Amino acid sequence: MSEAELRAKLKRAAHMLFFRIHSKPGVKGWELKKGLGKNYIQVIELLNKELEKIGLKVRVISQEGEEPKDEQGFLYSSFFITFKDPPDWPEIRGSGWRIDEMAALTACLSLILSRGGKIKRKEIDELLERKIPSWRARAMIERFFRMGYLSLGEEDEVIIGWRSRVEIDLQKLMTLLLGKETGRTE
Amino acid sequence: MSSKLKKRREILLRILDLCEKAVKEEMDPFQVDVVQLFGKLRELLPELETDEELYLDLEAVLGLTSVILKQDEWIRYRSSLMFLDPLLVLLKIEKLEDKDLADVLRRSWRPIVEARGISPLFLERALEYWRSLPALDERKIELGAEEEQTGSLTMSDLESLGFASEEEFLSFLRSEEERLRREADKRGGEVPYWEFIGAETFEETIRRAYLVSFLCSYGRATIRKDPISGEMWLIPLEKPMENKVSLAIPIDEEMWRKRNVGGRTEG
Repeated sequence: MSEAELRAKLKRAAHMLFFRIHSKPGVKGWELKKGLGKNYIQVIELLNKELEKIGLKVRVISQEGEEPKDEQGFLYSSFFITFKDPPDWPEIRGSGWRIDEMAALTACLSLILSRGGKIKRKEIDELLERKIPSWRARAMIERFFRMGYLSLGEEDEVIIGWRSRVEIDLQKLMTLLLGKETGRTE
Repeated sequence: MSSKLKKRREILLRILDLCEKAVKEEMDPFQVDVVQLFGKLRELLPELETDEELYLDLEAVLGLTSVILKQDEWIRYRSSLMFLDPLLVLLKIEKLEDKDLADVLRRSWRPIVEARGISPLFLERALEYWRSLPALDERKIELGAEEEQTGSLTMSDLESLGFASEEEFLSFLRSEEERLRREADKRGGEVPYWEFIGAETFEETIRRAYLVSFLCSYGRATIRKDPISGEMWLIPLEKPMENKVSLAIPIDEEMWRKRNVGGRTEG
């Protein structure tokens, strides 16, 4: 592949990954293969190096919420561009997220994880209603569902949503939560 | 049915019930003594006579297999780093302040970055659509059928909504305002619009919506609308707002049915 060809593919890969085509962000491996050719993984690796320079990275997540292990796995996985490192507070303030929404999402995710990955909707409602008015709690939970941070599993149980699996290091979230000292703010 | 047959059937059904409870997580899967129950099934097998018994035996074997899978899942989960005591987690959530909980999310978060824009292909398709779109005059008949008709209420319409005189109307308005203030106090200052006007009958819902529209016009309340979800909240006001914005909220019977179940909103 000539340098010019590689540059063109790199540009196309960036466009495909940044530009939202579906209602849900992310591009499937087979879509990238169709657009970039059979060496699409190498192109993505190269793009990743470029993106890292500006604090972004390409993240690949399989349908099971894990990193793919083989070529076939990559084909059916979704590719996203995410932050390389956690955002700073000024970045969050500009994004429109509120502190109480972030706290509520942490509470929902950690409780689901501590219960083996699923929980009844009523329990989530009750958890948030201890600290915030019920109508606001319901509105927040609906928003988390719409955004993909929470999802409905079998028998209408609440489970971790696709977006949480892509965006949040769930293991780190739990470690940080348990490591936080209670009774004082940093 | 002979007593032996009945007894065998009961044992098989009991094993099945136990397996079902363990699989549905109604009980700890390790409370099921799989080895002992397989031994019991082995003992029973030569004695089984009817097709039903053999079928139940097969179901029981499958049920015990599912219990083993559940036990395996349980061990994997407990031995993984993701296992945490739910009570400890709940305690942390209760004790930590919002800022600390938010910081936990921030430090483990790498948000997705995406761009929304217009591509040349999108523009090309849009232009094609615009060119093939018939003029409004040609589409008028078709559109006319779907237009929502608006109008004004007459005195008889008001009577049908239960307002006999102006005095009575004002007293209803006052009691509706009091109800709004009470609800808003309970819910932290705002009440979901559809929940507030929702009633068991369509007529009562219209009546409440009508009163609410007057409360908003008189500056006794205002409506906040979420631009993303479209949800609306009613906020009682102490004094009228200076910048008033007009808001039309269509309500028809179908919408009422969709939104309202026995006086409670779904969405």
